[in-house]
Amino acid sequence: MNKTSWIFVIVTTVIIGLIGFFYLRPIVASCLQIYLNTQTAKKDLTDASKKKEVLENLTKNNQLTNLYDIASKYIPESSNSGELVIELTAMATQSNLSVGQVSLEDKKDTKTGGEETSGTSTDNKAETNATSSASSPSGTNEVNFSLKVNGTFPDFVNFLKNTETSSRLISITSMILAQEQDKFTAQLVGKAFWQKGASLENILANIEISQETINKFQNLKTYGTPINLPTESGFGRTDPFVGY
Amino acid sequence: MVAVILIATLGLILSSLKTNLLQPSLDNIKTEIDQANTGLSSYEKLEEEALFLNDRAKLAKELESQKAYWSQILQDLINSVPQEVQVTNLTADLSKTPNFVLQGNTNSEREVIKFKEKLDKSDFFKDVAFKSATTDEGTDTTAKTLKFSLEFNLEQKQAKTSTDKEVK
Repeated sequence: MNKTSWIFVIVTTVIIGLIGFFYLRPIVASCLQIYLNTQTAKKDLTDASKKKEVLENLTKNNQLTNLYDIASKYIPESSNSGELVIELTAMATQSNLSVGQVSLEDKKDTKTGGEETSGTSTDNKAETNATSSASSPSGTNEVNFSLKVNGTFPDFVNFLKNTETSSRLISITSMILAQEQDKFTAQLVGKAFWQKGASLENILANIEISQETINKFQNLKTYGTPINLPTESGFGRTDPFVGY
Repeated sequence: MVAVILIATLGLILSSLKTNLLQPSLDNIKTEIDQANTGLSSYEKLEEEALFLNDRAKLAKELESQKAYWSQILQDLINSVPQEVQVTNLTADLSKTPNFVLQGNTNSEREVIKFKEKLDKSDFFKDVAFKSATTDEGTDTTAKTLKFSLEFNLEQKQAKTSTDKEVK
């Protein structure tokens, strides 16, 4: 072939290539995009079907609402310091430990410095203080408390067992135990936890409820009766400064 | 010329495939997803509860793994106390070292050493150190008393399960 023929072949090839590129490329890209979208949509559909199946199974689980209530109490969405004191006091009383003065200090918001202090006293033998404090490393908030009880050592061990199966997650960090004038005394410092909302991602795996989770919350025990204002009676006094 | 015709034909085939097969298939699946999601909206509250429950279970597991099970710890401690030892004071603080300071009374050094060795062998305690001992010779009516003090640290926060032991 001579030089002119070569130029003709090259130019023709380039023209055909350009036509192919500009004509076919958008069609192929569009087809490919639709194919990929279809695959994603198929996966979404499978996930939606599985999710529906899981949720339909959950509707058959009558315990779910009850378990939700238990979980909301175990690590509540707010400090619930009042109920914590009720729970600690009830556990101590049930373990035959003397419970008396209960005081509560609740820092509502550490940023604004809002602070609320309240206290009640039932007798002089024990003391409870609760303080809501800053977040722990995992993003969970803590309610710190200290508690003083009197009684016997075996009863105190029972009390500790109760705190380990209590309906509120309680962790004791330090204690001083002493035998004072034939009476066993224990001073405890501990914390309970709370977290606003749920931090888990809303994916299928996080919606399925395992038997382990069901058992975990079912085995917890409530000691104190929570305050339920709508059903509580006996409010209103003519002179609250007069003895009751 | 042939190449141009081939390219044009290929383009037509692909366009047809896109219009008649791929796009309707995608549209159908999208419709199905919409229908499925419409059905799911009625389970919104249930979904929230399930998510919350799993969130709390995960959080509880994490917090419980850091928690000390004092009833088990104290049970192991009292199992280590010799018959002729009286504990008068016990301070336990996980944020300080030593974690435990124990004061007690007994009638001989031998009992203190037995106590220390028993604690040393416990799975719960470590670094047991004998800190002090003072002897009260007693009077005609009271017996000799040895006041002692032990310091030690916490080795584990709860009893090992059978699975933990197998792993070890």
